[in-house]
Amino acid sequence: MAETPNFPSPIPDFDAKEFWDGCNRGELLMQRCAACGKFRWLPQPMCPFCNSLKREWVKVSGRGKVYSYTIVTHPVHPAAVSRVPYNVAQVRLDEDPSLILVTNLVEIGNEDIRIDMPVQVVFEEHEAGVKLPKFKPL
Amino acid sequence: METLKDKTAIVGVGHTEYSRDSGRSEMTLAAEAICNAVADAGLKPSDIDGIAKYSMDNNDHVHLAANLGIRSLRFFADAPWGGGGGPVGSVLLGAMAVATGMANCVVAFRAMNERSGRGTNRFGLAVVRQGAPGARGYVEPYGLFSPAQAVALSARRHMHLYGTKSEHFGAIAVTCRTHAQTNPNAVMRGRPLTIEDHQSSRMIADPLRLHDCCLETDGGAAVIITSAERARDLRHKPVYIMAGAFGATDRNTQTMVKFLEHPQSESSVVAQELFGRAGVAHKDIDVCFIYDHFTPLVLMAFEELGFCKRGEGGPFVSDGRLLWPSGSLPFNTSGGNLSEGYIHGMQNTIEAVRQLRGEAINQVEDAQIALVASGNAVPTTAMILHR
Repeated sequence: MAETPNFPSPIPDFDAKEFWDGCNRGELLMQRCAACGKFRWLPQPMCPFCNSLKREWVKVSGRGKVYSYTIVTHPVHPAAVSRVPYNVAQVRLDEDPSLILVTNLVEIGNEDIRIDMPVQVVFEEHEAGVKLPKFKPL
Repeated sequence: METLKDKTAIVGVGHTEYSRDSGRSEMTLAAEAICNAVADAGLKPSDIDGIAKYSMDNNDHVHLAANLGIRSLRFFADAPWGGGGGPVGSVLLGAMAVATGMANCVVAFRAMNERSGRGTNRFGLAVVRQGAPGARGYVEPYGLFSPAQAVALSARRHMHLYGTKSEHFGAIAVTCRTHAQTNPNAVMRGRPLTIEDHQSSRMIADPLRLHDCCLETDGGAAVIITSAERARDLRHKPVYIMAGAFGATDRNTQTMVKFLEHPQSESSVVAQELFGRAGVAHKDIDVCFIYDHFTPLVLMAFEELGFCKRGEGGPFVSDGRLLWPSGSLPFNTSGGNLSEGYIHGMQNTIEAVRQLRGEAINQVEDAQIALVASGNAVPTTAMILHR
């Protein structure tokens, strides 16, 4: 039987391995500068505020609010054909306004999605050994 | 300080036909477009001693020199960031090379089979691969692949914050399509568009509809840059490069999806320098060319370039000012990426030159000064030209 095509899995890069390892354990980790304490996203080796290379990964609450969203109706990838219409959303985490993640909203109909609605992270298995942070309504 | 002001000029423009399937190689398209531009200038291909291309262009400098018969290539450069760096950045690289004596005559060009896929993958389709590397890993696993899908997120946010409506996006699409109706080169000639057509077109990635997205096209387009002094002896009245600017911000990693989060944008960085360097104000611009990949980003480009305030773009683009001949700021007068053809914006640069020569089809009366801006929401470039 032909396998149902899937969206690609992330290939964690050297500076973001902890983020994806955290997801696979069911923990949402955000990168924070260990010198000045400011959060940043996407993960990167240097703090843009103080240029320190010291960094730490902080487990965050996983709560946030919908920042924006789209409903994709035109499939541009083979795995999208059976999935349209599907949502792609952005969620701003409660810990810091700069932390805006691209994600999918789950356990909600596309027509019920609203900007600013509170959401909570859940981890969904994407393929064996790879979990993605997604968000459900609170 | 030495500046670029009026030291160089665009002296030749040329292109191939714009189509859905060129039926020939990308090198053929590049060579044809460049030869047409050279002939327009009254020069020979071997007069070129510099090549500035889009970094995404598959045609290599040296292979192109071999085709054109350039025995001494003195300058070669790539403008990165696709439609952001390309349509103006490549021209500015050429201008800087000429102004500093690095080369005498530079061609800036774009040639691609973007629609037929003969050499270039369609930008509107995902690259199908096993895994998503680097920054793509934060979006592709969720089904976000295409620029349209990313732009949809910023468009929705703009609507939420400022009350912008789909009809405002539609006004841009209708303007470009209307301009294309008299342009024999335009892919969309003979297919007029009303705001009702826009509103009933199918959704691609809500709130982006079909007609909010640019075309996909095969073709080539090229411009020739040389010194102002030499330009005065050539065939056409020179179109002088008054000023140019490059701009990016420090938060470009996901810029198309969180564009409105930062007070600075790529285009606003450009605008801070561009007008001062040229010594002109917004009101002095007679005709403008804004890279039209997606209508919401055109609307936001007018804001970021300082034609109106952030949040005012909807009413600004919808009051008729952009429409030739009645509007006060005619925009993309040949139809743009949305309706003439998508040669990654280089056709807009060509049309700006035609306007300032006074030989455009939709000629703006007494056009003296034109602004050409590359793609908004990616690292970008812009220039001001005058005749």
